[in-house]
Amino acid sequence: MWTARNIMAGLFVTGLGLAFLWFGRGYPVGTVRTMGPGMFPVALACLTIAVGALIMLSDLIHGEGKAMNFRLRGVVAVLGALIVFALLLERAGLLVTGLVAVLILALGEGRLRLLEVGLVGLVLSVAIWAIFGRGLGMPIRLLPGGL
Amino acid sequence: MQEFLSGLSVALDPWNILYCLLGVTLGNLVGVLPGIGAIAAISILLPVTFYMEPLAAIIMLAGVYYGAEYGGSIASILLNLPGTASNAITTIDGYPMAQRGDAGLALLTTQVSSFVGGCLGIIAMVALSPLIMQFSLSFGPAEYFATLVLGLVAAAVALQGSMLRGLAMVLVGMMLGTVGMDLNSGAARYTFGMAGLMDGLSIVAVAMALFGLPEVIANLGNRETAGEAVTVTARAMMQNIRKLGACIPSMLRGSAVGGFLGPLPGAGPTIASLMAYSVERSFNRNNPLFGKGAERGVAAPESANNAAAQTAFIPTMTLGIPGTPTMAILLGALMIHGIAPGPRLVADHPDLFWGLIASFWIGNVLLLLLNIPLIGLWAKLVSVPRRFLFPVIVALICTGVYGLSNSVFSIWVVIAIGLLGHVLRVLGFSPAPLLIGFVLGPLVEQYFRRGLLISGGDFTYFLETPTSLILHAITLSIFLWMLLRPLLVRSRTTITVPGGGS
Repeated sequence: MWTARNIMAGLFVTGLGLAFLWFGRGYPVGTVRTMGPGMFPVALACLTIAVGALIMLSDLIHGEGKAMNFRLRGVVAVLGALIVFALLLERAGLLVTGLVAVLILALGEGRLRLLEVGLVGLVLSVAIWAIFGRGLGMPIRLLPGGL
Repeated sequence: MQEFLSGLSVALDPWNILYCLLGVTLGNLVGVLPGIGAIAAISILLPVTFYMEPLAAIIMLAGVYYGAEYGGSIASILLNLPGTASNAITTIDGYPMAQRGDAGLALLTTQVSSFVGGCLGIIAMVALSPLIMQFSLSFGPAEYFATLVLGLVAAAVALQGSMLRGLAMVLVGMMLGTVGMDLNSGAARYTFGMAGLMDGLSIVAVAMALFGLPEVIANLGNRETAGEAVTVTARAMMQNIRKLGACIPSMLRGSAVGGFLGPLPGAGPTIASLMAYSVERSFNRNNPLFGKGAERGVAAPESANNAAAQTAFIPTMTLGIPGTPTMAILLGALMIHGIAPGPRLVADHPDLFWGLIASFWIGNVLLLLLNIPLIGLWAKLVSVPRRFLFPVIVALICTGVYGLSNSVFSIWVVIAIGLLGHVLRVLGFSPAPLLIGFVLGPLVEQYFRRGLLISGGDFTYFLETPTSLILHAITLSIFLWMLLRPLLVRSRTTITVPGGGS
């Protein structure tokens, strides 16, 4: 079962190990007896690379070529909503952020009922502002100007 | 006993009762709603608890944890959709019971079984914790190292079908744990110059991103699985009270299995309920109904998962070693409040420890009182369309994480980890071992270093005491068992676990 699909899992893991190894290459490793900051990450990275290779091997031998559903729509919608939060929360306030985020999620959901989106976004933003902002003293603003 | 009573008086403080009630209600709610589990809820509530007293905070968060074990069975029975992973087994006998009109009996059985399991778990906690703490006072770096390694291997093995994949996740988690400033040398590891990473990745951000987001991503846009939401009333439940007697042995068996498995690293309520079901099946070979709608089939797993939820606190509180991802987050909550779990916990904070245990009992009682009269309400909630939940989850995650650091940097971290978590999920990996590796990894490094420092570079230090040897031997045997199992045992059942970790 030597399909590309089957090696993806192990490859990804090995890739992660390589990434940690590469970015950690500057840290002094020291000896095992006097461990430097680099020793542990490098050791872990090497183990990860090895395990990733084993997974690739195991998947190639046992794999059934299961279809992987990346759920692109879900990813784009959820990450989109999160990015909206990251970009707008401090600049535009909670109300706008909430409405836009709910809109994006609703688009991802498939059915777009504007009234529902508007209502949910409104209630959610105000509720969160009330609980977190007013009730718990978190510094988040509902509207860009103040409040 | 004396301390328990003093703890009880602290737990009966009106504010603490209020937070307990809040916690168990939220936990129950989160358990009832499929798609969001206790671990996501606890992560979301974690920033909220900053503003609270440590005891109140942990009472509430713990309440969410074992409350979810009560509520989860409701969705299992009524919708054939488990509310939490540990209630998946309850669907097997619970849903057929609901279909033939016995929903009331099924629900009563699960609620009472959960109560029995919870109470017995609490008794185990009260009895065993002081003993374990005494024992662990003698723990040095070598013993801690051995326990942590055991915990990591157990997590890799137990929480994911394939050991290789579990191991990979533990390792990735440990690597993520190295991000930030290394306390020993002051060197900044993997921070790429970003100040927000100097303290490392926040466990709240990682937990929320790994457990809350992939669930939403996977289910967004799915057509709602319209189950026949059966309506139930409290009266329908209570009519069956006489039939409970036959289930008492099952409840006791389930509690025993759960109570035993709860403290074991890597095990948890989910595995406890699975094992209790298997055990119960062997006691019910002559029962034609078993597997198709037998009360005993729901009583045993429900007692087990609640008992396990309670006893899981034992290693977390007494040793500072969490057995499951959720426990890891609770541990994080304690540390954020400046409480270091471990052998010194009872000595330094007796009111916290015993107050918490007393609150468990109060919480279990509250849950029983909550779920029987209000069962109609919970039944209705079970059918809330998921598309209303998703915005709430995303908004709560963002706000919670933002509140942690007052900067949107944390949200970017959630985005990055969320993407990672999604890719891993698609590739067939489970996030639970990753979180355990993330939490335990830095500790392993620390104890390893300390051990070498004490022994002057001598590796045999880690194998000197009998305790360390035994622990390492157990770890090794688990390792070998998993390697050789495919050769010895033919079939392997995989159970897909919704909602993330236990």
